Amino acid sequence: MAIGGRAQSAANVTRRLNAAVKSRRLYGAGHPLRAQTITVFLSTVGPFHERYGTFVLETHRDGLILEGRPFEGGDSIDSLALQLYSLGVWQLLMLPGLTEPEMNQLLDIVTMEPEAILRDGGVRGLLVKYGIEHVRVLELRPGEEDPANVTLETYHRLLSGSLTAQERAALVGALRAGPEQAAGVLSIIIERTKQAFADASSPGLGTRVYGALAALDRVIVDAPAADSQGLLKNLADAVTRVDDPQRTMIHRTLLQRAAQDLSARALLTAMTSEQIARMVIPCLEEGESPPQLSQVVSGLPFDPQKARNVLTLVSQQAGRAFDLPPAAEELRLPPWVKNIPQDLTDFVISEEAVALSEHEVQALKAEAVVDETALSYEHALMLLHLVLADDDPQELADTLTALAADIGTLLGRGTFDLLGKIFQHLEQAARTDDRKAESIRNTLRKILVDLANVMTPRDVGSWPEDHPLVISLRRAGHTAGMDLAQALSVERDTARRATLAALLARIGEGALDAILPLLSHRNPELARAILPALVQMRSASAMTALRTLVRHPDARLRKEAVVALGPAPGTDAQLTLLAFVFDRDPQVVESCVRHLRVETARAATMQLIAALSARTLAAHPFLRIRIIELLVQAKATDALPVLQHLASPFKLRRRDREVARYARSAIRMLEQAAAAPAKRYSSP
Amino acid sequence: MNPARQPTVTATLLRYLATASKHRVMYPAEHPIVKRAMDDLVQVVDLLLRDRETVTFQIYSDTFFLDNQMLPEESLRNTALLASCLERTVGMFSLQRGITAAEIHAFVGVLTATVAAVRAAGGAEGMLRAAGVRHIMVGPPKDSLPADMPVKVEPASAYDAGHMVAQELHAQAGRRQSLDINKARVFLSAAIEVVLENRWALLGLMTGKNYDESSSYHAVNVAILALLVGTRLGLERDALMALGMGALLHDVGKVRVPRDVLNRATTLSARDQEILDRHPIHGGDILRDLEGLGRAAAVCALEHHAGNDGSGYPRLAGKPRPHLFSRIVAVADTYDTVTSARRGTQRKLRPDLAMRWIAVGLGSTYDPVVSKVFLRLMGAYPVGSLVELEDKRLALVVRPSESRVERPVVQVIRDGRLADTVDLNATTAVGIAHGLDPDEANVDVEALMAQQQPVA
Repeated sequence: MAIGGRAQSAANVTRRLNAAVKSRRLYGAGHPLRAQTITVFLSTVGPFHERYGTFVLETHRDGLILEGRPFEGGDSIDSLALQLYSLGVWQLLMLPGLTEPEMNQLLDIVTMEPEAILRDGGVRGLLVKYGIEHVRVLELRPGEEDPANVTLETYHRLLSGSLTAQERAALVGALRAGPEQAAGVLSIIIERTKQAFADASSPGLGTRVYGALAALDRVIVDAPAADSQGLLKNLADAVTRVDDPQRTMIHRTLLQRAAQDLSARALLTAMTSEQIARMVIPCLEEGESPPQLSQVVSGLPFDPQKARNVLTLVSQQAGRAFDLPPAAEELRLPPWVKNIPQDLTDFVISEEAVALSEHEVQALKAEAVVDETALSYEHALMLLHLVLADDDPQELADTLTALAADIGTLLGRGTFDLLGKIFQHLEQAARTDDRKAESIRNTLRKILVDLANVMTPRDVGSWPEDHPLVISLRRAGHTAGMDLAQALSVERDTARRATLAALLARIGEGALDAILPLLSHRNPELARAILPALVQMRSASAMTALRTLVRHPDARLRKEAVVALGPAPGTDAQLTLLAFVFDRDPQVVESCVRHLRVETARAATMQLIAALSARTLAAHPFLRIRIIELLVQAKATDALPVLQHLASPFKLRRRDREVARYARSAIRMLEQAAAAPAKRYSSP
Repeated sequence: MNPARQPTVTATLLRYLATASKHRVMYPAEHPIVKRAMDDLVQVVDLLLRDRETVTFQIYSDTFFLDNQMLPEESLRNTALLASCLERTVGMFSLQRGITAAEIHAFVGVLTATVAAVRAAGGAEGMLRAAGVRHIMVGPPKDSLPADMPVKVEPASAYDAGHMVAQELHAQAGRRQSLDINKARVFLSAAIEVVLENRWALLGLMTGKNYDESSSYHAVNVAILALLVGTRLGLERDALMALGMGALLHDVGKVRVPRDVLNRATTLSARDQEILDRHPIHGGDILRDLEGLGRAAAVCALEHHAGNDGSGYPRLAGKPRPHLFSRIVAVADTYDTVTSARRGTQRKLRPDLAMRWIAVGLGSTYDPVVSKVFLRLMGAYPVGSLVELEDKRLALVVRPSESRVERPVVQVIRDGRLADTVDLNATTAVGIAHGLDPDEANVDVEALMAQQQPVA
């Protein structure tokens, strides 16, 4: 009783809905009828919601179904049903609380072009997109599906091999039910093909339908063995008696594909000779040797008898005589089938050949480590191989992102040896493959910055020469240097900058080319950051590079270069230091002189002597005094003439007099020193 | 109690409960569709409780258990129900004899009420008690199985669950959706239990399920074979899970190979062959972002054709040989592929010839130790092989012998049926003369295997 009142009420709602859809189609925006029909609809659906809850509209290709019964509402209602049905909507549910804006949006959606709707993810996707919370759609009938209810979306999923389990079960169920039901499915699939593809007219229909048949065949392949043959037979039967004015197109394509395609062959194999003959005769072309016959023979390579029967039947019914075309087809046979060598048949698996020690088993078992670190390690290597093999730019970018993340994880766990391999191969790939170069370089930079995040300069400096990461950084040499230099040039964090510089230092000579431009970068902080790296490299090229800093406009930087060079061991660093002796900034010179060792002073006496008399130091007596001290320590007797010049007691300026006093004392000491060795060496 | 009926009624109960819940959400309670679904549910509960006092379902790791029996297939078929239960913190429900229709309605009401409403009512139990329900007990979910609980799994249920999962994962990959790896876990947990309990139970089910190397059965078969090798190596459960995942998804990249290439019956052009050979790379791409044990799956997908000696594809730069799991999957994949009939060629290699094929490649294409483990496990004549004995009798291999690969346990075929069981390892009087092609001998091996009772 309640249901009866409900049916009446639901019918009213449906009519109002139809009116709203119609007015949306007929009238332009702003027309009063548009708003009016929505108001009327809402005033009808509201009481329905209050009394009965959710309003459900079910669609079918032939009309609407309301409360479980077909709804006779005239042409316009049927048109609404078909519109919804063609969009793949099986049920439209309107929940209590439906608002006017939601209704407006819904009407916009249902009056869109079907292609546009499908492009945007179907009605369901659009409802989500526009935030329509009180309307839902069901695209499949839950439980026992109606097999003929292959919506357009289901059809597309069939083509792409991505049917849901329910859809798959529904299709298999329909094909299993018998030839009649299979024919029903095929009929709706042909209909959907026409709906889905604009080119599914005369010439293109065969190809498109064949695509769907091949997809159906894939569903059959996945059905249980007991079902598989029966399903195929029913489908084959349906194909031979397909009820479509353009069936010849479909049959012709099937025959053409039989020569090369597994699905077409499977269908042909499942047909009887009579069925094939019935299919072939309307397709026969004019001329001496209709190609369809050779296609039949090619499609039945394992059943030549059936092929001969077909030819006989066709010949009898067409009243023409045909020669049996040669089955000149090349099977795609896997190697284990093509030539089963006699030695394989004769091969004996001896006990000795498969003897297995427990030690071997244990060794394999030990490889099966599945902790997070081991999995990340293997995964990172897998990603490396993917990067090397992938051609798709988007996939490559995603893989590189994942690789950088993996390495980040591994570095945090102290796994460094992998980085060497990855650097080496990525570097090589970046050099040899221009399309990938930029993405790979970006990733390398990211990895290096990650490395700087988890390390300190002290860590980096403490790695021994045979540390896996040092080895890997050196292997990657130039590329890693370039990437580190670039990372350094954009890095703002001082600590990370220092770590990046320390990494550059560990690369050594290979990174020099990359970092030289940083020395003259307009941001002196960059040059400052790499000073320790250059000093640490200690190579001749690094020292030459440091010498160029003498001309750097920033005195603080020059002084820092000197300070960095000062404690460095070896003569190269000291000789580089000497370049700063003539610096225009006395603080730089002072720092330089303070770090000069006696041996260096001895080797560079002439430069010190020249510096002593340079005009830039005239106003800095303590600096000149320090140089004098150095010359004395170096026992540089060559300095005596200059010292004597400085030692004059008649100097006017106080600062010069102070220097003179030191010079006199230095002269004395140098003269004594000059005498002493002579004594020593003259002894017998 | 009829043991064969129980899983069927169980499956029906869960399905009806799921359907009733679904319809209850969609339609008002008095709607005929809901009424029908509820009536069906009440009937099946009544049927189930006719021969027992109580029936208890528990949920562990996304899987339904009936007492201690794991229900992988039912769990996968009723994922929405499982999710509804867990969202409402129902990890166990027990239906007791004497239950009334009103109580069942109330239980469905709990499963369909909003989570907030359930919480406000003091949880599922509170809600049931408030409705006067006395014959339904509910309990909270537990993280893992009790350590001392012996788990039983129907091998057939595990196999079917695997097939279902493989189909679904491939469909998800085809739609470029993220893969529901939890479902794979449900199947693999069940398969591991079965393999650990009886190594050969699933092997018998595989026989005859190799119609096409591109079917979802192939994925399940390879997973089972790989798990067999894994258990023989003594791998831990986690490692078995990772290995199984890799095996199940090893060919997932084929969803990105154009169908006309996969479906080609004639020899592929060099270009098409190259397209086909890219499926490991596609597989790697698809599985790249999986987490945890799923990472091993990505490795297997990429490496399963690389070859132990690196002679395959793609080339693995900087890696001496593929990962252990990839090497295991490679052997399992080869065995199932060569013994599968591609429908377009209608030919397959006999299982005993397939074993020789692997033995020939031992050490080069295939890892020598993995191959030897596989050969010893399966025997020179694997389960399901049709053989002729030296005394000219036809027999079916029903269990391999690990100690002597050429002397398995066979069942003699008499009048088209399986008759005496002969352990060739125990008797020296007779041996295997040679293997036979079932088609040429006109013997339906699958039907015979269905007759055969599992050999423990």
